Amino acid sequence: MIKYILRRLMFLIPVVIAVTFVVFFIVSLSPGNIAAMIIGDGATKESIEQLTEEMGLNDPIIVQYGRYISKLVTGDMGKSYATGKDVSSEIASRFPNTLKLTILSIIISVGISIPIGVISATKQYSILDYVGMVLALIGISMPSFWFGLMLIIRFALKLGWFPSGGAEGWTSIILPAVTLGVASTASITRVARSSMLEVLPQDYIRTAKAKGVNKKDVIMTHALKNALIPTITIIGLEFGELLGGAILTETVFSWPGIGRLMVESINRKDIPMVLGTIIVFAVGFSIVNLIVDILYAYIDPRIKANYR
Amino acid sequence: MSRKIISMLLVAILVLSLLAGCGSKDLEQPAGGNEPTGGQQSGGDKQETVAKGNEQIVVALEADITSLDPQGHNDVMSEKVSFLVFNRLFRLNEDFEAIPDLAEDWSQPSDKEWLLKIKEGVNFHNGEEMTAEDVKFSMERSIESPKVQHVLEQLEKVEVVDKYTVKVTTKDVFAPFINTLVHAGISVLPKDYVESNPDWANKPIGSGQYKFVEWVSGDKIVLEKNEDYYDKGEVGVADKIVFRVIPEGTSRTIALETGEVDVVVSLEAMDAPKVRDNSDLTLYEKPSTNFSYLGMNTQKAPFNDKKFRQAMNYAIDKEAILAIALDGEGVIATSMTSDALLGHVASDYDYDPDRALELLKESGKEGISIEIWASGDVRKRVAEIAQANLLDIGISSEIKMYEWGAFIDATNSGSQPMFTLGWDSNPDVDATLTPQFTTGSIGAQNRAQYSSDKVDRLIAEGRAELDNVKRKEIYEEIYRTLNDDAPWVPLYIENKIVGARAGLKEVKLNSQGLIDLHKLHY
Repeated sequence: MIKYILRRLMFLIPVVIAVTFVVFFIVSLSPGNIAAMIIGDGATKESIEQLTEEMGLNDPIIVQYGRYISKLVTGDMGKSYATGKDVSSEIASRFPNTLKLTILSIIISVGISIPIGVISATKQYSILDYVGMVLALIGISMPSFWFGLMLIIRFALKLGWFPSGGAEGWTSIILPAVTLGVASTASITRVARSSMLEVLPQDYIRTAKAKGVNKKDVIMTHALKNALIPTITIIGLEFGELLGGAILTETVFSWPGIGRLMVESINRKDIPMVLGTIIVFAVGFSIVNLIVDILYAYIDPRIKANYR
Repeated sequence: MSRKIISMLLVAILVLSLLAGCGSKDLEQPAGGNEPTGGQQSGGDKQETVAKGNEQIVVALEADITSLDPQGHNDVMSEKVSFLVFNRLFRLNEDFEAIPDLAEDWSQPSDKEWLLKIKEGVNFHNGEEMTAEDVKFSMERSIESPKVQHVLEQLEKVEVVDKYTVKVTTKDVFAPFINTLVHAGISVLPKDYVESNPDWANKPIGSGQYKFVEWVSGDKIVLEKNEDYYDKGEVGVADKIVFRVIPEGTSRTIALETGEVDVVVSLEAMDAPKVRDNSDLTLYEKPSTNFSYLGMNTQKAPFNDKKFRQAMNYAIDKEAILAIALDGEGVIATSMTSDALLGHVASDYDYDPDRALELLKESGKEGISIEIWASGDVRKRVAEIAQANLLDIGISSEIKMYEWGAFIDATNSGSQPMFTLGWDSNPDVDATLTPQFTTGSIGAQNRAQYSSDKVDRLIAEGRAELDNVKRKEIYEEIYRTLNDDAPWVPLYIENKIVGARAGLKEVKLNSQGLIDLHKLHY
């Protein structure tokens, strides 16, 4: 098992190289003169050329990439083209915010979707089932920024229970987490429901019922546990997506996470920052997938046996 | 069988509606043309009410600042913080005029020399006194910093004359010199502190009314009052000023309504009526220096024909553009800059499609088609109205939208046709005319690729003319020539819109927005 985990962690290196390679080239080749954007107003031809030369932007892209990678292996992600600050410290200060928000959102999401999914499955075709599915559909159809704004207007403006944005105090995370949580609910609910529906007619469930196991245990211990594999997969995927930074939600709530940072950097062609945020995203996503795979092993002993 | 068909139809409808809904979400583009993203780019720990005493004033910004180093940024957003932490030799008042800040006395021993004496007894936040060495250091450093080196481009050398006086020698006779000193990039930095701390920008020290406390990236900047500020008449009032970054316009307005912020620096134009009608809030407006225009590449057909360009000036309905693009929050532009600048002469053009058609016939260009290039939501609307106006006189046009970075490049490529863009003026008229209309600026800011020997000569004369009366005459001649040559269709000048809690006093605006933040209090 340990060997398996270590091997998976080693895979992160080629992942990071591949991702940075592709992103570096795409951003470098996209139109827009970096030096001109950095200087802004008042840029003269001479100052643009001078800055371009100073930043080494006239070198072939592969050379620039080589420079970046050689610094990256020492842990230096470079300095932001826009602000001149260290990319690593910027990301280090903003990533925890995204992490906090993501974790809380997933908890909210799972807290809503698993019960709804299970109830919908066990009481299939009942009114609860239809209501649950419609709610899930509404959840995924609402644009997150609209829903976020609605929450702000109702709970921050009209009722004053929560701040309308920012990251001050524990109350400021609630509204953005609910916004994001609701958006993820739909897919998790549907998968929970459909995998429960697959599990419930199985023979071993009938056996358990016949044995006299009480209803709750049948559902929770015997059925749910088996239905968890696909469900955890989707939870992992949703978590990974949220980790990339729920940009719209972060913008609406002025939440200082890396999603906003990533988009702002792309707009400014701030290559070191773009690469930094994307590396964090790629690594984060890979680790989440790894955790999901490890969880499989604990849920299903058959899978554990396969992990050599 | 029919059930199958019905269900397939339903699925088809669902799929089609999916595709219909699938447009790319236009992420917020910077509204400005040449403005940097940040520029026309924070919270109490109490939930509902904000400190009504003067412990803390919260200002909402639309984007995070770029840098705490006044020479590390060139945008209006970061300036607001720099202006509080640092001092400059001169600053701008409400009427956009340069008035002395640190400068006690100034004179010109000769055409190219300027003697500047600073006030005595000005201390930096670490207690050290400011001397001419710091001024010299700051000026020289500004030329080394890519983002602000254009400000003191005319600097030949600066020498220390005595403890509080410097002598600046310019390369050419440069009348706008005093006006360049109001730029944040020429803030006076503490030489010893900066030289001994390569990382000083993370803990900046200046001489201003407020001291730096912390910057939480993407979230807020916190400043606290400097009790020992040198000018006792201009001391800060609030104990703390917090800048909160709130990128979404609606969220800024809501934060103002809940009282989480005390003043919003750039209020969304569409929220202006709401703030106006709310008795807890006050709306402040002033025409800005932010100028929007339809540029035409004067070196590319059909725009190389003066009559055609003049026809364009008659064909465009500026009132409609102002109403649609800005919800009316602005004024019509009557020439190449705001009318506050020296020498401004309004043109005779007005919305006259018949006259436009006449000129079209004279130029032999009826019924042609052109392209209009734009970037961002607001400019797209401007382009659409222009398109409609042009159709009225028989010209068909295709609008091409660009992402911002690409747009900046493309409009300098030489193949740009008609495009819509903005420009942020500086108090001195030369700072607009030189980058926009001189031959040397083609390929940089002069996107109309305008080249006129007469105008080049006049601009150089204006820059060197130290007599203000003669200077004004020179610029008037330039404006008249530009109005006639019509490289642009000037459109509108946006209003700066600031929203504040009703009880907040000393909310002052000049055309660059909120100023004198140190005076804000309840």
